[in-house]
Amino acid sequence: MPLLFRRAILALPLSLAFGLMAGLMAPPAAALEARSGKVVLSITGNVSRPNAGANADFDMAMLEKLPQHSFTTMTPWYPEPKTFTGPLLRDVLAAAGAKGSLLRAVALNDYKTEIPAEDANQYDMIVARLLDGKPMLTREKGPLFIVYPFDSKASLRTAPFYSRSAWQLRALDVR
Amino acid sequence: MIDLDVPPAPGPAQTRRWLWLIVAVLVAAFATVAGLQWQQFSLLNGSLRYESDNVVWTFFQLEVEYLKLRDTLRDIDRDPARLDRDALQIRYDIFVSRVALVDAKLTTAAIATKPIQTETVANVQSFIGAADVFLGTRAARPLDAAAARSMLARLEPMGEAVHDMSKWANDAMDAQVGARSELVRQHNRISIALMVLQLLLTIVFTVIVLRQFRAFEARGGALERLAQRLHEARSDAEAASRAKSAFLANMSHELRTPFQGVLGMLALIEDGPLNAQQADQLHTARESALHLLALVNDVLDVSTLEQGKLRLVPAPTALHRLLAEVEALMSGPAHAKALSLRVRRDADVPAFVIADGTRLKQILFNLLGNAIKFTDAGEVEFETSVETGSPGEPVLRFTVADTGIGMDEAALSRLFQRFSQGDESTSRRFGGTGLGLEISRNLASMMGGDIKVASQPGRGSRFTLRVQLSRCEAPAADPAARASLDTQPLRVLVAEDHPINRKYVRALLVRLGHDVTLRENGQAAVEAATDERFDLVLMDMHMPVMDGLAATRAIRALPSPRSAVRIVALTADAFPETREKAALAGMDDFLSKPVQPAELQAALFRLFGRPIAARAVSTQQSPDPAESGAAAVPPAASATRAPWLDRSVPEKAYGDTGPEFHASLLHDFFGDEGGSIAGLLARMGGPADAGLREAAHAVKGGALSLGLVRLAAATAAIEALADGTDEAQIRARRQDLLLDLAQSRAACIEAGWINDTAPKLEPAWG
Repeated sequence: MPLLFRRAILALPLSLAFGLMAGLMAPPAAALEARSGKVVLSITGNVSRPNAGANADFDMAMLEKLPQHSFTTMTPWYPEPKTFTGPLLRDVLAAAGAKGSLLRAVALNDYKTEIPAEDANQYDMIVARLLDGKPMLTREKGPLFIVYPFDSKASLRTAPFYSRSAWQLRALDVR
Repeated sequence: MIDLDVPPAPGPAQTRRWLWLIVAVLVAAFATVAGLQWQQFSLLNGSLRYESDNVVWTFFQLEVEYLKLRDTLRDIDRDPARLDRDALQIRYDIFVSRVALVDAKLTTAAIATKPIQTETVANVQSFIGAADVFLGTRAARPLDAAAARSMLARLEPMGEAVHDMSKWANDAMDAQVGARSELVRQHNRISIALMVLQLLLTIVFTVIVLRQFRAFEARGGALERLAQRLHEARSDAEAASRAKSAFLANMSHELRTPFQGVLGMLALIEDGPLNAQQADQLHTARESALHLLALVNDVLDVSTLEQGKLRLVPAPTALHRLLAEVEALMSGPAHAKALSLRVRRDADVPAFVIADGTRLKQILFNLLGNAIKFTDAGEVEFETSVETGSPGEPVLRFTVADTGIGMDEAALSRLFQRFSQGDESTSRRFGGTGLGLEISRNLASMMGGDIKVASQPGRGSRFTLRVQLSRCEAPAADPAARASLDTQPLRVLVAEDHPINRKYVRALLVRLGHDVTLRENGQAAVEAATDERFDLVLMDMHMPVMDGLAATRAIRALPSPRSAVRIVALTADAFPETREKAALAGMDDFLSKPVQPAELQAALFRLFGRPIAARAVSTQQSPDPAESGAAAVPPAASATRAPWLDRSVPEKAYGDTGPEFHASLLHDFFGDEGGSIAGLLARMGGPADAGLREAAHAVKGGALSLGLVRLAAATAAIEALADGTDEAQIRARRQDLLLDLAQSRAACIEAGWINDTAPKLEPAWG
């Protein structure tokens, strides 16, 4: 299973990173680094490494620092294939120490959609910062866009996954 | 007659055509259903792939964001203090981001684009173009209350169009869903219709198959019954054939019994005083009777072969002796037709082989008999050789060649068929059953061999019997029996209930020079065998009071040496089972009635090693030679019963010098080194004088010293006659003397004193 294989490969450096962090920093559930820029994503709910009260707030620089991934896929929202770039959703969640079974994504227009937390592990979903290599404006569904790798699997090209893809993402509530 | 009412095979071409038609329609129906399913699947797939994440939703979202932006602008318009630039910017950006999603390029796959969409979107785009002056990424003018008012002024009139557009999208989508549902319903209807068709066809198919199956079953049953009937018919036919064969065997068996009497009586008459004419007539009668007997024997052989009851009894067989017997028996008929019978045996032909001697002889008799029968002038050649280059056991080749009438191709092809001779005219001319060759070939193949024939009309035929026979050691003969036989006549007990047969067998044995005791049943025979010592018992199988088998068992149960007597079964019943029963009861040999002198002699030879060619001259009772001594016996009488050889001579006279010396002397004697035999023969043609007596005496002396007692007796008789004047009588003895010489030589070979390379007395002397 290439998917499992890929996950294993991705999981290895991740767990190494965590192991290192755990060794360097005590207590292990150390807080997320402090934010300096404007908040672009706020993770609320069951977050073990908050940096703003009970929440883990990210500015764009923090998201940039996470390992960046990129893929090109057809979507229902553009007539042609687009390349999305950004950190993996599970990396973002891990950075915030988020643990739960359900993610509620909230968009700028208060659009809410529920994503099973398992999706983040099962698929290489990314929190896209760049569209075709350029930052996304709000009017272009930015600044953040949760994208599934639709072209990797036919079962992803269905309505539930399209509706879980939140654009103009503002917050993730972890339950 | 067998009833062949099997129903015709079901499923002619028509039914098969129907079946194919149904299959074709079923395949077509399934293909159609599959096609519909695929179409639906594609429909579903397409809608999922190209339908945006709910087109109607995007239209309504655009309307919602339009309303939110309009309300924000209205609020600012009412109270400019409420102007929040960031909030307005976000509202505006969200609205703009929604516009791209209702673009005809994205939605046209889901809903057919209408002017209401393109016009409204164009209006919204022109609004955005104007608003971007304040809210775009490179805003040219400050965002203030006046800007908000001007934007509101442009935005408000579009409200109805935006609403109508989302309403239109909703309706279009509804219509599309309705159309798709209708299509699916229609597909379903077609599918159901096809299903019903399939069901019907399947039922028809099943009915046809069931009908076929039932028809096949019926046919199978009929075939089985037919097979049963055929089987029964075959069994009946076989039973009938068996019954016929058994009848034939029985009949031939029954025919043989009266023959005993006929042949026996003929033999007795032959011994009486007869004039030349009577002797000739008697000879003819005897020949005819023998011929008839041969035919009956053939029929019996064929029926036993047919019943598969004929069994070969392979045993160590003296092949050289067997060939000599064949020669001896066939030379008579050959000479009678003035044919020369040339017999040749290769040096490497083994002396002893494992074979059924009786049956091998039968084949050779048949081949030689035919050759003599179908040859009027010239010669018959009988050759025995070993095939060269045959690995393992020797392959023997018995070739019988004649200069007779020969056969053409057609006759050859019919040759081994039953009842067939060369052709019908041959049949009429030569007679016979035509069974002989078939029997011979069957026997040959039972021995693992074959008979081949080559022939040309008018130039003669050549029959070759090829058979592989295993060599074996000479069977250990009973030296006591041999010794006693050669020095004494046999004491024979004959147990036979039939008076004529009794008389006949007695006459036969007496002619061969044996002492005979007769008993009428098994009980009396056992008593005789208990009281007196016999060398041989000839035991009839079927007798009153006690039969032959019981009597044999009783004799075998006697104390030794009485129990050791040789017992030979006599029966008209020639079945192999009878033979087996006889052997089981303890009998040594088996003679089928009517007993022929040659067969009796052969049996005696087998049991006692007695030379088969013993001369039968007279039936007169003579004094026992053992009592009188060979040399002292009156010559004419003694010649009939005296043994050929005195077996004690080599031991007594040559014990020190060894048998080789004795053999070399015999060689010299038979080679007539000293010319004494030639001299005697020459003088026998002349006057009866002292010269003759001396010549005879010389030969007698030589013969006596070598142990040739019978020859000694014969020359003694000539010696005695030399004193008289009956020259004619002396001349008459000349032929007898030649025969005696030949017989003596044969006896020496038989006794192993010399081998057959020893010099031979040539008839040229006579």
